[in-house]
Amino acid sequence: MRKIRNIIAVMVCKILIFISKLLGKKGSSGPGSIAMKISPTILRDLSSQLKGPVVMVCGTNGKTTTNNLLYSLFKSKGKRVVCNNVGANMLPGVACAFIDSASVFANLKADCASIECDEASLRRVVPHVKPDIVVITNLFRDQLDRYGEIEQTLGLLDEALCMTKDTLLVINGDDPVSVRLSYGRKCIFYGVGEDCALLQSDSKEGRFCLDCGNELSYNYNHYSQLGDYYCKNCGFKRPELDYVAKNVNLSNGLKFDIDGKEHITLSLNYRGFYNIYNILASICAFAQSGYSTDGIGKVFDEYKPQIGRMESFDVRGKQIILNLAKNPAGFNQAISTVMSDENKKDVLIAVNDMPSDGRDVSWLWDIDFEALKSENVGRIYLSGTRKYDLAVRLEYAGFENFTVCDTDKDSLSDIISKSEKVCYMLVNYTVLFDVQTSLKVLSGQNEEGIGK
Amino acid sequence: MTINIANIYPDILNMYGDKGNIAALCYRMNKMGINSCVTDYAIGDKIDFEKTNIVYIGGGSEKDQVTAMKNLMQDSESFKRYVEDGGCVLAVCSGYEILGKSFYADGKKYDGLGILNLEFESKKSRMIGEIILESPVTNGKIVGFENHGGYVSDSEYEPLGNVISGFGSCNSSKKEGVVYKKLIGTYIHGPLLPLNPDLTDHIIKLASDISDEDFKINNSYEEMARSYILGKTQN
Repeated sequence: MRKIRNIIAVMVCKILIFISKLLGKKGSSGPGSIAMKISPTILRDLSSQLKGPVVMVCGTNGKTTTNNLLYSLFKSKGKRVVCNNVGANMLPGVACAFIDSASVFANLKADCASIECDEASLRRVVPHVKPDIVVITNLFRDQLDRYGEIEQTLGLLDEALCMTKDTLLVINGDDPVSVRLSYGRKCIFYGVGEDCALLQSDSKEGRFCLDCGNELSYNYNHYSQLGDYYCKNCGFKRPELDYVAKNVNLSNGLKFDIDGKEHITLSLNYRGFYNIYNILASICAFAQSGYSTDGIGKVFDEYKPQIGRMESFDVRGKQIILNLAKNPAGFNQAISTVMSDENKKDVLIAVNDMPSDGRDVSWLWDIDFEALKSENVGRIYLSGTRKYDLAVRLEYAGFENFTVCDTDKDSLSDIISKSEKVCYMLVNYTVLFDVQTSLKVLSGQNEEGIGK
Repeated sequence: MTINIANIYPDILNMYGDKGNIAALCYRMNKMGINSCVTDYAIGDKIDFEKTNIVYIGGGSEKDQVTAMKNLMQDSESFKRYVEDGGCVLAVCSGYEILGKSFYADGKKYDGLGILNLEFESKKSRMIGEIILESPVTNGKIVGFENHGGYVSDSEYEPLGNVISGFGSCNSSKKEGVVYKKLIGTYIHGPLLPLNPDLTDHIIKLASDISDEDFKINNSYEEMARSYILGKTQN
């Protein structure tokens, strides 16, 4: 009976996935919830068929990139991987990913899984899929109306981890907030082991010791609360790092060495200091899954940043770079990456307030937009449903070079016509897919067909 | 003229874009030709109420709220005197709660500074969403966002406004916030002042001797941002 229910659930889900792909919808959770209604055990039954490791990636920023890197690493070893690489990271999305990797008879055709999981959803996913490894990338203030305070997010993750006691944690040791989850648990840490002298003036929401409340001191601080911290009062400090990035060079792409189980040197042509963390996290999880890191440099060379992760488009000879940013830490990192580009450029910022973006946009005041005051920045375009909040924000900060606009295809085309050679577009979640679709059309790329 | 703003513990009370409230005060004072001077006080600093014209206390996590309250306790007498003597205060979210007689944080009841005769209670489910008030203070609408578990059953004070849409801090009577002398306390952020230029100007007027005729500031972006929220809550 259970088997029959599972088969029906898989078939219905697969048909729905097919239809939603035909309709051009991206990110699939609807079919997953319907499948779980038909057969509440479907996810448990499919995931228990896995022989290889299950890795789950959690954290405020960098989940999707870390998870996709890990997916590519597994793939490079010829593994068949269950992966929700379209970013549907709540329970139905996870169910969908497993069903996508199953035959119509509800047999799983995969060797391992790399699953991106929303922080609040981990406790709902863990009862169905037992993770061997959970990666915590970082915990920043994010969408307070959805997740509440950082302490609350920590509580939700702790609750999930208590349900899965033998899981190994892979934690960003540079983050004093995430490190809290390591207490009493099997854990390895990664981080950046030297001062990279990044320019920053952002808010450090986690810079107080969560053990005693004292302000943390730093030997060096990369951005936000990340760095080599210690508490003068209670002795809390950055744990010893198992995987350390060193000799970091950001002047042209990303160059750095990793000291871990083995020594790895990487030289990559994409930007963003935060990508060092994403790469470290994926290598840690990969190595801890029992695979050799020999020759994995190639995977990172060939990795193409996903939708809206500093994704580059050529529109009529102008370079348009699209980046997703959803919270102050993400925006500040994106802005500092924009400013590290020495070309003169225009910048578009678009913020929506749909439920999945967070309806409360007060965090716009915590973004260091002031860093855009530079001769290298031409015009700043403001868009999204909260474009006027952005306008007030910039007006009060003393900017005069901004314009409020829309993000439909014609408006984007217009902006690009007027723009400098380079235009960065920093947008939040629900703006991303529409802008990306328009940019694809404008750059003459064919609209992506069915399939990932 | 220079207006001194005491910004209380921005290191920890900075949860809901509180920077925006300070930015709004400074921006508009600048347009009115008033100099502004913001002093950021950190935990452990003694607050100089003598030289202060506006006190701002923002929102923080429940843990930080308790830290803030414990540290302000040592200054509670001079803070009370400042308010009674007609000093200007804007207190938002947890900053508002700690001015009362008691409040709840992480399920425990704490004594507040007792500047306001309010006992904050706590609901399990938080009240989250856009909020619109009809306010006698600005003779118009106040808009913003609320996200709180605290409320009061009873208040002897004038409210900041009557709730047209949303929850408010006194749920039974559909009122939000309090006005006592020149103190305004409210749960509304968004942040509050960038979305409500009339309220910003009201506070500046309370703290200075400037009059209505002295300034005209273009509010077109603020008005558009407000219309969006007003439109959203009507649907």
